[in-house]
Amino acid sequence: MEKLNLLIVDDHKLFREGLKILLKNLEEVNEVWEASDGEVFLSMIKTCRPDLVLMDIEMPKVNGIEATSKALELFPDLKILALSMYGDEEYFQKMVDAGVCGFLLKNSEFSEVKKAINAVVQGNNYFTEEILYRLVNRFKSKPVQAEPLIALSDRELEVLLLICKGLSNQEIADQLFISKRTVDHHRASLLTKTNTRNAASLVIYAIKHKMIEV
Amino acid sequence: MKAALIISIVFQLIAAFIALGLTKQTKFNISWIFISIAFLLIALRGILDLVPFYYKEVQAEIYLIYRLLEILIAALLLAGVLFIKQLFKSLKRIDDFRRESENRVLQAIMQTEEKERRQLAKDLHDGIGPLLSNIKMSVSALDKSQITGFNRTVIDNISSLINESITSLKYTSNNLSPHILESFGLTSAINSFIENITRLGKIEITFSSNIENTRFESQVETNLYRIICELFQNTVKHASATNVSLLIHSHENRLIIQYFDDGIGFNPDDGFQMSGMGISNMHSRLKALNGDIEFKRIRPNGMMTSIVLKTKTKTASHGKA
Repeated sequence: MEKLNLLIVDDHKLFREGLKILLKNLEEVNEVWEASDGEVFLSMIKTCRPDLVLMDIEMPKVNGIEATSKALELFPDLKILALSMYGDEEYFQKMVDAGVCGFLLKNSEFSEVKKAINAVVQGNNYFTEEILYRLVNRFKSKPVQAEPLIALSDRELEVLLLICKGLSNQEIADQLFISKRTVDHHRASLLTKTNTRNAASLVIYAIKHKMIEV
Repeated sequence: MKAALIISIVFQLIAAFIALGLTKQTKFNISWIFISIAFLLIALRGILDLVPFYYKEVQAEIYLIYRLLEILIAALLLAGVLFIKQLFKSLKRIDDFRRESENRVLQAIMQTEEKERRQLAKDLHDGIGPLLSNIKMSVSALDKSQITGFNRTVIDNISSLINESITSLKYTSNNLSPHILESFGLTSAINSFIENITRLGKIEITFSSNIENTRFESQVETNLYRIICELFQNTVKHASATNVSLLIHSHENRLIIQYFDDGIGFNPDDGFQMSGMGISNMHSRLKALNGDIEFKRIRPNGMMTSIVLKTKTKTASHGKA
């Protein structure tokens, strides 16, 4: 596997530098770039193509939510992992809507950071358990949303559950003994039927409708 | 008869001179001057009453002067009373003004306090928070297999100290000023607060509202949030309740909040009990918002708090981050 180029977007200089030291020490990492806010990040990605972006939310000038959606408009394949001090549902929802592939809290252990980076780089999602737990709890106390459950085929349901487990399309294909193309098709149809934008919002959809348990 | 008349004249003259003497103290108030002159003329009229006892032949002329004096006295009293009405009006204006400026001072104090708290919370959370997080990440990145014995114990101790520091920093910063209130508004902040209480598992809370993501002026949001938290805390600390219900209803620029619990209730007349529950604090918060708050005991169990205030909504926003 080729070594990874990472980009940390965070306005806290010491945090950035500390994380950079840790990341650079990893075998799979080649280069770690830094951007001090969303604006700097947006101009940087025009010249460098990181394999993964670690994105803070609260930043001056352009915040993480805006920076994520703007960057994904320009480069839809860019992989962005939110790395935030705030684990509130609202921030989570906004970052997922903006298009991040994962969400991590800054107070995570470094092993979790590694795990998240690897998951996202391989094309999967990674959501820290603390937030998923909170989301499930939040929705547990509310009745299932009134909108009629969209008719999903059994196969689509299976694919949805595996997406929620963080499997990539290839892994899902292997597990269900179907071709990757078919999985791609199911995923696209799930996004259309549930009116969600990406796998991350699909996961929230599944939690809200109590289709999975965490 | 004559003696009675003389005594009444003396009294009237004394009253008139006292009234005139007070003119300076009333800062030469026009209504007081009129009334004092009217007193003087009443005394003069009394003196005229005495004239017929001494000069029988001048009765017709005296009668005319007497009538003129009566008209003058009546006119002066009328003018005096009318001016007094003005005086009362301006007194009321001054009183209103005083109350309004008191309110403004109260608002300014609260706003400054909230601003300071917000800044401190932000400095703690965004300044020190990432540093602690980074320390945690760094310590957790150490290769533990190479650290043994006493060093391992020290490292493990450091790890738990960092975790404790992060938790307590979050708690303190959130208590000082919840960032979620500023960024996402009342409903989100209350939901998050309720989530924390529910985690303790002692109370079942029902929260319904029709305000969704509506944003109100920051002062309204902050004060209402603090009041609602105080109500919850009172229930948790004092009420031994099992159920709480909170309703926030917005209707035609009016915000109505109702809070019920099924605890032991309280006695609204017991000053000591009420003072421990931050009731006066809640009253001053509502006063600053020109709203009303009312506490009621519910039979057999529980209490109810109702809050009503007029609000100006800011444009509905979905928060900033």
